[in-house]
Amino acid sequence: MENQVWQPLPGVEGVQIYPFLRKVDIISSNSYLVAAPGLLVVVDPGGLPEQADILIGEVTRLLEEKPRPVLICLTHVHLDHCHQLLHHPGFQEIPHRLVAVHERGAQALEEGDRAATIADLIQQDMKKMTIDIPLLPDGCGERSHEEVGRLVGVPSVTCLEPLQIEGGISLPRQAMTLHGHSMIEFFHTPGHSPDSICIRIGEVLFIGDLIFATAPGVAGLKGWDLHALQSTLDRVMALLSHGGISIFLPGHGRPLDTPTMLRILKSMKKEAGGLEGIEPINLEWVKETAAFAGDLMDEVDRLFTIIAGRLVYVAHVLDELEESGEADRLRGMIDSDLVDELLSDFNRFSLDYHSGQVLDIHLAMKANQISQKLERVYRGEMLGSVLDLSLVRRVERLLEDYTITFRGFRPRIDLEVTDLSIAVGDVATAISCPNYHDESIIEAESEEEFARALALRIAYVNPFENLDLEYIKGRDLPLARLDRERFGDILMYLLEKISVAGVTRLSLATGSAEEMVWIGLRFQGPPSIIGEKVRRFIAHSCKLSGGRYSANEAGDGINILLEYPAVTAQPQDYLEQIPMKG
Amino acid sequence: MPQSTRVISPVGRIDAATAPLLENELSGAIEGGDRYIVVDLSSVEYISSAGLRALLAALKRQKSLGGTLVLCSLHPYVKEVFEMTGFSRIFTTCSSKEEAFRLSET
Repeated sequence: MENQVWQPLPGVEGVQIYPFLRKVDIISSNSYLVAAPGLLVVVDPGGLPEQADILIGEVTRLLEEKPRPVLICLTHVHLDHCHQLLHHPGFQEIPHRLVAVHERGAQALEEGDRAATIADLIQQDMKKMTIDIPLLPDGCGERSHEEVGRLVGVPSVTCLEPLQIEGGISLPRQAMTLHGHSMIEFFHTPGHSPDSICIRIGEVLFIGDLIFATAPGVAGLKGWDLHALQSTLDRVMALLSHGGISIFLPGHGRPLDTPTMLRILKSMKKEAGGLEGIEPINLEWVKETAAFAGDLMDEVDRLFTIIAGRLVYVAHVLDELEESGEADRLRGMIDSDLVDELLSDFNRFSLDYHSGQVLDIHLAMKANQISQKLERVYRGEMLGSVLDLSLVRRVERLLEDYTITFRGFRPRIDLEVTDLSIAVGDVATAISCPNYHDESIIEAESEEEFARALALRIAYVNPFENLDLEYIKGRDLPLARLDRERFGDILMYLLEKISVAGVTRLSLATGSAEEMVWIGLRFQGPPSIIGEKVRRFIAHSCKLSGGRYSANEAGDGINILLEYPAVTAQPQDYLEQIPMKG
Repeated sequence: MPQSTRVISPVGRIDAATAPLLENELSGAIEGGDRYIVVDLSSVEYISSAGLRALLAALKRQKSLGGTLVLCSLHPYVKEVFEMTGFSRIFTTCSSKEEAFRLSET
């Protein structure tokens, strides 16, 4: 279907369609105009004034050619689909205008419900509006009757009659005449929102946001209903197999054919099965997720720069040693240009966010988009064969944590009973022992083995070589409950920050007090070593490891404390205080 | 300041978008005959791998022509990246421009 061009609407002779298609975002939906000799139909006027200008221009031109009523239908009342209907004067000025919205959506628009319209999430004003035709009232799936619209002089008589589909499935339906014997049919398809409808004209089904209903950042919105969605998916799949529909016009993105639509619905059905217990996507969630996104992407950026830079460094040294084959292999392990572009893109977006041009929800979505792309180019296993496993693992974990959070779930936390002294000892060993063996170079049996052993040797960069670490192990420490891997990552992160800042002496100590087991770090240095962003990142990561973080300045030194509940404490009581639980 | 030392002072972020600009400036200086180059990084708060590659390419070219390239006044984040990547082993870095001048000519 060609964008912004009038073309015959498949399945109804003498009726034309004008699609206004946009790339997928949450600012504005696609819009569609349908022109029949006796009626114009607007499906979802969208959220952008310039889009509305074009639609109104087309409607005005057609009304000048032949005056007729205009029916404005909303697939649901999220503001990206209808903001312009409420605010653009052009839509108010259309003569003989009828607005048809599902009964629940009509109520939301009449009451100015900011949550139901997601006005609160996208921080937009919304005017209240009276709806002419509240569609598909409660109980309409059970009986057939005719209903007369409120507007005089316009063919607003609609017929309510459920569509019976094979397998005993029925779909609540309301219909009105479009042209001759052709009808506009409205089907109630809740799930994405309680007022979601699909609209059928001829072979075309306008599906609103049905296909996005399981998407991260969308599933869990106010009014989202998993069980209603699962039922809707079954019903729409049955409608497809009933036949007669060849084109599916979504609220966002390109039109779909029947095989594609069926494939999407099946995959959504599977996906919906895993969405039980999802977090509600509300303003609080959006703010929390956006803050997490900002801090997380800063750290992802740092780690990717270190990984890509380390590979450049090793490849450079290998080139100097005339091992260009191995150097090229290392350069090929990561698409640095693409990674750089993605991270720069996020940075630009983040600057817009901090200058108030971009909303929390946009930042959270952008971070998801970037982290998905980074996950696709990141080959952790291959990188782990050359670089520190800790670096590689931390990137994987951060990206996974964000994906899970953005999907509306809590990051996975594997709490286990742990001897904190042993966990600290493991990290101390990891930073003092290289991950290569000199014998591997000597004993290499082929050129290839030699080059790889050499690369591993060169790739070992020890940022702790100037750090004098003193470890005072606490006596008779009770066991603690914590996520050991996450704890190891935090401690490694802290040691890196402290060491590369030029600190040369660090005291580490473990101990216990008041049913908590702790590890303390003390060093001399300016407070800027543990700046605000770093503190936030550690505090969040520490919560995810099952503990809590605190820091204070004492004299010209800094004390950092990570505390975990001793197994003698009631872990459940403690966990309830942790905002991000597993 | 010795006449023969060229100082290049990038500002802001050296990332995918700005690394080519730095690369141009460095190659312009090198091809223009500057044999002693100091890159003053005091106003650079961020460097990506594209920035690291631009600096490395310039260093290699400069060395092949018998010149020097010294970095000075690294911002803590940039210093951290140099330490963590191993770049601090390849480059001569120092804390002030004055020291960089001395080092660049030795």
